[in-house]
Amino acid sequence: MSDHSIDSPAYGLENKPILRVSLVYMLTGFVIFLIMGILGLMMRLDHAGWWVLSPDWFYRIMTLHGAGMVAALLMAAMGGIIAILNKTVKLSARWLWSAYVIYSLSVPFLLYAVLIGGYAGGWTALDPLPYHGLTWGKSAGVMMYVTFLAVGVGFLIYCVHLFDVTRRKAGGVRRALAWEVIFSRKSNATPYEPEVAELAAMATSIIGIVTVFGGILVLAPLFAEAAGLLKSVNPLYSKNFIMLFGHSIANVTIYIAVALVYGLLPVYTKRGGHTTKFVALAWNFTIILVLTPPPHHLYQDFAQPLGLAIIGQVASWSIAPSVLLLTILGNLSYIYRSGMRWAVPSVMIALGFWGWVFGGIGGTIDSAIPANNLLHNTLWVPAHFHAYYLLGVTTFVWGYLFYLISDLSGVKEKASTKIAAWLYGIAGAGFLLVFFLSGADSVPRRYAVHLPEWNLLAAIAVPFVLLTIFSLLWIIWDMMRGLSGAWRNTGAPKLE
Amino acid sequence: MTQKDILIIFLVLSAIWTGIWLKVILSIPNIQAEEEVTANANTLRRRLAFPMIATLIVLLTAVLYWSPYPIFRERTIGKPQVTVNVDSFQWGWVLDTKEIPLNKVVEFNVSSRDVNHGFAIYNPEGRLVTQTQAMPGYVNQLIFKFDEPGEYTIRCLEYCGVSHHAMIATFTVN
Repeated sequence: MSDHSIDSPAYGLENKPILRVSLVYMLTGFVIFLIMGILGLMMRLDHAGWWVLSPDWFYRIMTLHGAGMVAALLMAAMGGIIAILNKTVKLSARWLWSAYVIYSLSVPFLLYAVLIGGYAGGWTALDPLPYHGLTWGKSAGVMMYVTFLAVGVGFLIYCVHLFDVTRRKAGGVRRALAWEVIFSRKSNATPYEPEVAELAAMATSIIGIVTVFGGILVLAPLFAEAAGLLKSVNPLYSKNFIMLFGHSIANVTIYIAVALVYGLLPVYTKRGGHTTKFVALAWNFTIILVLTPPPHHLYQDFAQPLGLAIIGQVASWSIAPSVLLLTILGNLSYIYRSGMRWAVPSVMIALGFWGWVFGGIGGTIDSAIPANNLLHNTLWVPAHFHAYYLLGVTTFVWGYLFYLISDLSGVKEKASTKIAAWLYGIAGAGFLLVFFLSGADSVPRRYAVHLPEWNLLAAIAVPFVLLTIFSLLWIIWDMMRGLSGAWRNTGAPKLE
Repeated sequence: MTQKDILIIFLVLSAIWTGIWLKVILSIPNIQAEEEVTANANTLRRRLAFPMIATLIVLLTAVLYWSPYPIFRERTIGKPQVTVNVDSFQWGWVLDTKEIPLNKVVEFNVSSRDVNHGFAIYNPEGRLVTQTQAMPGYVNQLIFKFDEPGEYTIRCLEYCGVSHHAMIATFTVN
């Protein structure tokens, strides 16, 4: 059944157990995101010199913050897309719950590694550091990689399921990727047009499957090393694959979040919702553009073959024209002169496109090899990906969650909550600008102790962080009014 | 190019983008048919695609030429005249000299005994001037010419454990 109607809700209500899974994914991600946000605030307070943490605890908190944020936002985005897919595709609650349980095992593993094992090696867990931390044992490093494994296997189960259902519905991978739309000629028969969410699910599940296999290629030898079967793993090899896994899993999150926008915008603009040729091209390019740029993380490893650096550079810069001309321009054309109805979710979407491009500009500059030589591992880097996350992924995902709860429960948002949404955008932009300024000031990232001359910019960032938390709490307060009603409307949990 | 130039490029592009975004947001009440907007967007795509891709290709060539890899720096800066061997460990640096001559092309051979480190050189004003990674089992060759005398600071820029921030050394250029 196809449901292109712009008047239908941006989720499927028929299979209620799936909606309940969706809510659990999104709410779990949301709660972890909030806790990780508080940890982020603690780090900026430390940088400002206002709440000095011991280096050991700073780096443990940094590890939790990074790992928790990446996993939480991916999980929330995964939850959102299944609610939209539920309109047109028959999903299995059993598969999705299995993925959820295995993915969630990463939480106790991570907490054990960091809080009990003392692991403070960062979420990227760059080999050989996890096994040579000096202040934590090898077992804590192994537990960090087990955390990776849980996230990877959970995500793999989810991706395999989405791949399978969208492929079966379309009658093949090429049809699911809308190749008939891309290569259609006017004289030909009507091409098969998958729903945008189905196309997005197919594209992102391919990325997810490749990413997890990339992760396995590095985790397997690292576990073998821990077991004494290997003396060591080549650090250049492990760095490449860790970056492939980490970069892709973080990067794919924004594209899953964008899939939510494709589903949600028609509700407010009465436009879009179709898999046009440009939409199809955008999602096909996404597969390549998520998986090929990771070598840009190794620009400063001069031992890396030059060809890989060039691939990283070309791939990173290819993102700019394709995302701008296909995804951003396409979505802005849905908004432009549309009479879009302003509500918390539509404000969040508008802010998301604004912030996403900031991150894109910062990232495109940083991915130029000579510029990277001056910016790599300064605060410019977190500035770039926080722009993606704070004003891209989170605005799209929380905007969708707000919509889902409000629409499912029938509890209308308070008009004043839109102010909170705008405030979130302004505060987020202020926070990010300070990050970029610090990066341009050569302030290193991942430093527990900052020089006195670096404190001022961090101090300026703190009120912006507090303002984002305040505006988010305001939005949560409004959203919570509908939560129990939304939960009831997803019916009793019933496994297939 | 310095970080200041990079920041200006970033701020200018961000301001242009914010202007475009505001134009879209402010247009919302003036409703136009979706077909017309879509047709205009497609025209815009066609007009922008070629110049944008062409600009990126030209810039790519420039970017490679000015990249910090030895093969290019030997052309842009010159052949190394002085060699400095750099070893690193958790958490310190070992340089075989602390004095580096001014205006000579220097080649740093950077390696690590244990984990990944980042060999980043900060000038006397506290600005990062160049860097490479220090990786166990590999030697990264970094070519640079110092045209300003004074005390330079080496900071580790690849996270390497709980004293990462304290992994600092200095050398003098004169």
